[in-house]
Amino acid sequence: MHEMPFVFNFPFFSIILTLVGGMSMPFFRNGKVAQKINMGVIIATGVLNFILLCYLVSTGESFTYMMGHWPAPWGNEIRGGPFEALMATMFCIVMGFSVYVFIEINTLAACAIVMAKRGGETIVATIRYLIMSLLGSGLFLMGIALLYNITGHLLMESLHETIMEMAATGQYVIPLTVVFSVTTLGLCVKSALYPFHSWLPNAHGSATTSSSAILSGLVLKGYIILYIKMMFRVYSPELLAQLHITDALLVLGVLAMIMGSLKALRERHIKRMTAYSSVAQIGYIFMGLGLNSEIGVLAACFHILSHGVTKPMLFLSAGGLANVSHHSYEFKDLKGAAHRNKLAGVAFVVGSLSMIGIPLFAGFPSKLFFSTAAIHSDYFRLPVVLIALAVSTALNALYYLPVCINIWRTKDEPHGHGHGGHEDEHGGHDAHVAHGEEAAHGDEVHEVSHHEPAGDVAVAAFENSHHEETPKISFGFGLSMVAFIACNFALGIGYGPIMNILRQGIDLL
Amino acid sequence: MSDPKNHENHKNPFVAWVNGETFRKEEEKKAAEKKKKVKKEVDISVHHDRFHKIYKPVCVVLCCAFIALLIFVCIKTPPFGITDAPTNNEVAQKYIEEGLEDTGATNIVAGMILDYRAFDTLGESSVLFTAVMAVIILLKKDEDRKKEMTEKQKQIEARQQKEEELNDRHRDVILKKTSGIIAPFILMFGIYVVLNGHISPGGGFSGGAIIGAGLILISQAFGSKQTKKFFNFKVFTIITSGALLSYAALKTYSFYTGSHHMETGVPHGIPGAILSSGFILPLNIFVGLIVACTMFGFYSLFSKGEI
Repeated sequence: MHEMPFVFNFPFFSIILTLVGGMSMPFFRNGKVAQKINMGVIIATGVLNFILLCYLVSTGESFTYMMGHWPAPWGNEIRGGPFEALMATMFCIVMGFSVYVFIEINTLAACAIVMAKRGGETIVATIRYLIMSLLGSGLFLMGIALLYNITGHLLMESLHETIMEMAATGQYVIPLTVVFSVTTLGLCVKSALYPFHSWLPNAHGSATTSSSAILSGLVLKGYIILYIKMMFRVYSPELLAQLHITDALLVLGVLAMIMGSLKALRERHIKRMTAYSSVAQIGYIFMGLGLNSEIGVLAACFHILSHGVTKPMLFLSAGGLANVSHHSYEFKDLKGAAHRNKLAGVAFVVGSLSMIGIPLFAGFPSKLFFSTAAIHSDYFRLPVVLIALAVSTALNALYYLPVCINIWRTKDEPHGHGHGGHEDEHGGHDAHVAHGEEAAHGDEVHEVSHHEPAGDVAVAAFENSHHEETPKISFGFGLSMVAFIACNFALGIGYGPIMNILRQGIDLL
Repeated sequence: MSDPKNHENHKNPFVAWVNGETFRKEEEKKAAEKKKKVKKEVDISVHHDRFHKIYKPVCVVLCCAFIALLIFVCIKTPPFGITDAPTNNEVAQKYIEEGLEDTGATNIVAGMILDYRAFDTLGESSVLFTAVMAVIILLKKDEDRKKEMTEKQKQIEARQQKEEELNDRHRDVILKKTSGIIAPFILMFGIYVVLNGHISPGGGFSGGAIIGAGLILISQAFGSKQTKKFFNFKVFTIITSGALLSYAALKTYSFYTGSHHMETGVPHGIPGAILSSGFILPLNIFVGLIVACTMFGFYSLFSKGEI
């Protein structure tokens, strides 16, 4: 232990860095400085985790890091491996109880994210989210309390040993079953699996753009990663299969894939539609976990990555499109929005194709892995999973493609400026916000602004006065869009090495 | 597909669907559909009633089933207090037998939460901090919020302010006198509990709660203007964030040295003395400050929307 490589400090550094970064925020009066520091912390954490990942992949090991002077059963320890480093989350803390505390941090912060924009609808969504979230946390805490009662441990390692011993001797079978189901249920509620998804679309539909990007891209995944860790390090996949918990997950996952997509089909609000699509994608992940094979779990892990890259892009581009369409998220107002913000339009199309599972995009390999996993499973699961995949893919295409067509439609006919009716109103003043690429459309913008209702003139003037600042914002927006598209292609084309890292990580869990 | 005008959409409902216009009804269509809509609404309300009729009994049944399940499980778990329960393992044994030697704290609980498992306590303090921040985002009245207020809200605000001023002038004499005598003792007792956290039962969390309650009493009895003299938003921010940052800094040092098997260089002192047990005393003080500020902050934000 004395020649511990310096890289092993990195998870500890990233945790402390993020916490200290958050705590020091109230000292900055200037929001921009705070934002920059925030970005700095995020980048630093990312770099640290990436270096750690490179090191761990090259040596092929995992490690435990003592938080303080006391070794495992008495003090806290952090465990790191390729899987954790890859997920680059803070859910790599070994002790079950620490895990719980950090979920709470996540919940509260996420609720604050949802309500960060004011308004009645948002508050209702936040309260619903809070109640569901607390229900999930409560179930999970109950499970951990019971588990502590029958094992006397809170540490994943010791818990695993005791549980395996109990399973072998047949002691405390009923409490153990209840613990398994209650913790699973709690985490399912928190990650919005199908029957417990009701809070998600509302929270997304009324949240700000970046909050929903973070919420669906990262927050939901945190709980799933925690569940994967619990599956391998506390329980064991065989035990879960014996208790039919994986079967339940498979059924719920398949239901979520189809019902989520069907509900998305009904939505006429782009963000709510994307949120329902998230419900379906969460279903994919749980279906992979429910397949009860290593490749199923790997496919689920890969889908966490690909969905984590794609969904924030969809939300951000939807926000970008809405910004140039009167801040409306309704499909009818988004018609032709992609012409006003081309990059957002491209990003939305890329995201949609990825969600459908077109080759070269990130969604394709995960669907490929899911079907491979299905083929490797037994005769009962094989047809269920394959049919669910096919139906869900078709439904994905059904609700994403019309939106793509809609946003890329030409807004007006070449001669249609004068009598375009309501469309001119909708295409109106917000075109000013469109970024630099739109310079060519300058004339059109001017013409359109003549048709604006009187009430909007003030808003347009306000936005004109801020016109100098918009290129900056759109630079950030452009950068993030390009980065997301690049990530999507990277995952879609170079999935081989990532799969290898995941396999190594799961083996070392 | 090229001409997206509404009258064409009638001919091609798919185009309208793609455009997201299926909910945007033309006048003529509206008239035809009004009848349908009325029917639908009735259906929905009936469905709604039925749903609500079922909803409550189902909730009760589900709750009862869950309670029964949990009671059943509790019967199956090892009984409380038996000597060979799984919870009486080497972990608890080490805390009890070597806790004093390892941490230098006569209060084993303080030794556990602030030394053995200080990382968890750091997380808990961060949760408190995040909660306060969320409440501030929601409830604090700032300039932006005042701009957004409507006329009616402004009137209500003004009336509330007047009432408060009246209250300030006619405070209850009994409350004032009694709390004038009690409050210093409450605050002193809180400080005592925080400072003696490592020696006797108590510590940052309980002591901080006592101090917070004392502050709330002062604010109730003498009005928020009196507490504002020494405790405004700036002080609140500085104390909360400063205490948390100091906690994090101390623990970072301790975690780092611990994981590299180095000594911290802080002596444990004589067990039982006020200056003993290494980092536990300052950590208790920081936790006490955070908890006191959080309690008072919650009270103040929920009752007045400002600190």
